[in-house]
Amino acid sequence: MTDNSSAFSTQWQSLGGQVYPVATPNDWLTSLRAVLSTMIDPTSPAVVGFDNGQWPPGLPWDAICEEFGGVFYDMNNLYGESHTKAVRELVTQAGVGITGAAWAAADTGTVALYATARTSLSASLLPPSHLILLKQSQIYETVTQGLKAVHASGSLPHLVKLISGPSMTADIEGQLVIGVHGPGHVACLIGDW
Amino acid sequence: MEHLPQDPRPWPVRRDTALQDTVLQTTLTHVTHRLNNARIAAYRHYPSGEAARIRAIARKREAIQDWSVLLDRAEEEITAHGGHVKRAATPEAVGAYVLEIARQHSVKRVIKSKSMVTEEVQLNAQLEAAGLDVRETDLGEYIIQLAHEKPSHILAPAAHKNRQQIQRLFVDTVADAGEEVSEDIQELTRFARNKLRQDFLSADMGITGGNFLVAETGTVVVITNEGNADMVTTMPRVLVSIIGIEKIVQDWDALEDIIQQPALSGVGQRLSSYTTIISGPRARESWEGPDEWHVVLLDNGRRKIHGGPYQDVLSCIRCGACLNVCPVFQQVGGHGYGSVYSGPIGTVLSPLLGGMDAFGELPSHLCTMCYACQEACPMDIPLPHEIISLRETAVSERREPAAVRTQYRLWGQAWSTATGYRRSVTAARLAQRLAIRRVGLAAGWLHTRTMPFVSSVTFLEDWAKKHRRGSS
Ligand code: SF4
Repeated sequence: MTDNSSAFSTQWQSLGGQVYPVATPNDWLTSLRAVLSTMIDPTSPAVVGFDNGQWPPGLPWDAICEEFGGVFYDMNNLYGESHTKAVRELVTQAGVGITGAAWAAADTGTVALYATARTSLSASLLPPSHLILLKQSQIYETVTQGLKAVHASGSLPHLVKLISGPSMTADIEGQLVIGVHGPGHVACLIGDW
Repeated sequence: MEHLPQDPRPWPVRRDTALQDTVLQTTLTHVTHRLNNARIAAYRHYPSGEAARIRAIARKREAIQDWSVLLDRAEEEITAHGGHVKRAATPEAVGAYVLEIARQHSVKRVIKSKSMVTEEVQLNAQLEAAGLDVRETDLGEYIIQLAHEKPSHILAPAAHKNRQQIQRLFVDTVADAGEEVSEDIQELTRFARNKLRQDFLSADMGITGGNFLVAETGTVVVITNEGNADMVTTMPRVLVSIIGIEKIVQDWDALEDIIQQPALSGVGQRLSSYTTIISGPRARESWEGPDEWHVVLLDNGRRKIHGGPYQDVLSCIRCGACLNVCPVFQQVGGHGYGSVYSGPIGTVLSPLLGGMDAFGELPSHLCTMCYACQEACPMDIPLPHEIISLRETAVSERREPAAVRTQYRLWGQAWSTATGYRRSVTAARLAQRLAIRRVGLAAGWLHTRTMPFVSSVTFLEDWAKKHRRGSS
């Protein structure tokens, strides 16, 4: 792992997230199986993925999900007039959302998502589990560098979301509870491809 | 409608209610100490966060100084990205504008993320009076909305309630007939999540506050730990962001320095779990986000503060650090202040926004001058200094009762000379012999304290006696 990857991992884990490093491109399958086995809940089997065109290619998503009692939906394959509605309904019921990321930051343990045609914020928000596929080269040392990248991208995305660990609250008696509105289970698969 | 809502109960009633509330006392101590320790540890282990804080103070002061130009710029940028901007001078203006948008879009259900500004303008009451269904989605705000109460802490609005009270509240208000509600905190949270999820999915309008407004790009930044602001900004078709005009920052450089400060100072995290950055309504090719985005820029007394001796208070980022260190807040909690804004910042801001008639007693009665808030404030706002200044105003406006003024005047006169001081000691000895210990200025103090007895011989008298004896 690069310095930024390991610093990110430490921080992300201290916030309550999980990290699954993918040592070589051949290890993707093993790591994916490891993380999905902990995430898929057969009582809400839908696993929705938003491949933004930058995912590791050639992975047998359907087969891996099926192995643990899940059903994989690639959102880019849902077309038609009611695309948005169909996506929304599906994401609402899904047990797992899988997304890429625009970038990540090591010092704060942050993952950034942009709302674009091919990415989803809801998939990182509505399901109880969120899996993020992260390239090592996407990890900056500081969140400041990441924010500079948002702003420098020329056209500012209309909605940007920075996620730093799972959804949490301490609103009842100051006791920390993980997973209020957003996912309680957030994991990053970090590798190169 | 008043500029700032006020609890009609007088201070002694609010104080005694808070001091006798054992739930409040336990939770408040726990919450304030935890947040305070977390803040100290967070900066200690993160030197670049501290360096950013120092830069942020200067940039924020400049932004406040130049806010007219910056607010114009923000408005231009938001409009250029397809958003709409409304400048609102009063609480009524905010309510009228939001209701007009709701009418245009046939909105029935509104979901909100936590926002102090909407508490300030009593937006829920205004919308509900017009028949809209409004739902707070921050867990703490949800609890107090169901209980028809006000927040007791900026960051932990329901800090005055324990799990048993919340369980009963859920059963009485939102649980379906026969639905079991556990007393376990985890379960209570899950219960609220499920109930609120239905509201998120069926809402037509979302309302957020805003932590920062970036002039350079017309960007609004909203910070939460629960993720509810993400729901509010992503799901409904219409989004309204209501922002006090002092939230302005110049550009992304300034944003980069200040964006971590609310979490570092408020909860001791380097960044809150969720930061949502909104720069426009949904882009055509994107399928998430609101079709329409409105930004309401609220004045409500802020412009009057600008250019005056209290201008620095406009740099506040509402982190809550000053509340957590304040010995008065730790005892009486938010409700003791009778204002939406509590703690040291509320002691200064409430009379400035809501007037001395309504809130003039806060600086006089709810501060011990310990200066802890001064040390804790990440934006270096001279809170104790401002509180003293407000006290001076209260005195010069003769706001204390005549009897109190007279007693202080006599006391001042008596102790300004050595003879006067000695006479007062003699008088005190006499008074205690006559058992009149429960009148005048000292009476209130003695409800909770025991007054030590005045010695029958003072140090000087004793010295003089021994000296005489020695020399004879
Ligand atoms: S006055 Fe300072 S410490 Fe208090 S809430 Fe504002 S920024 Fe935070």
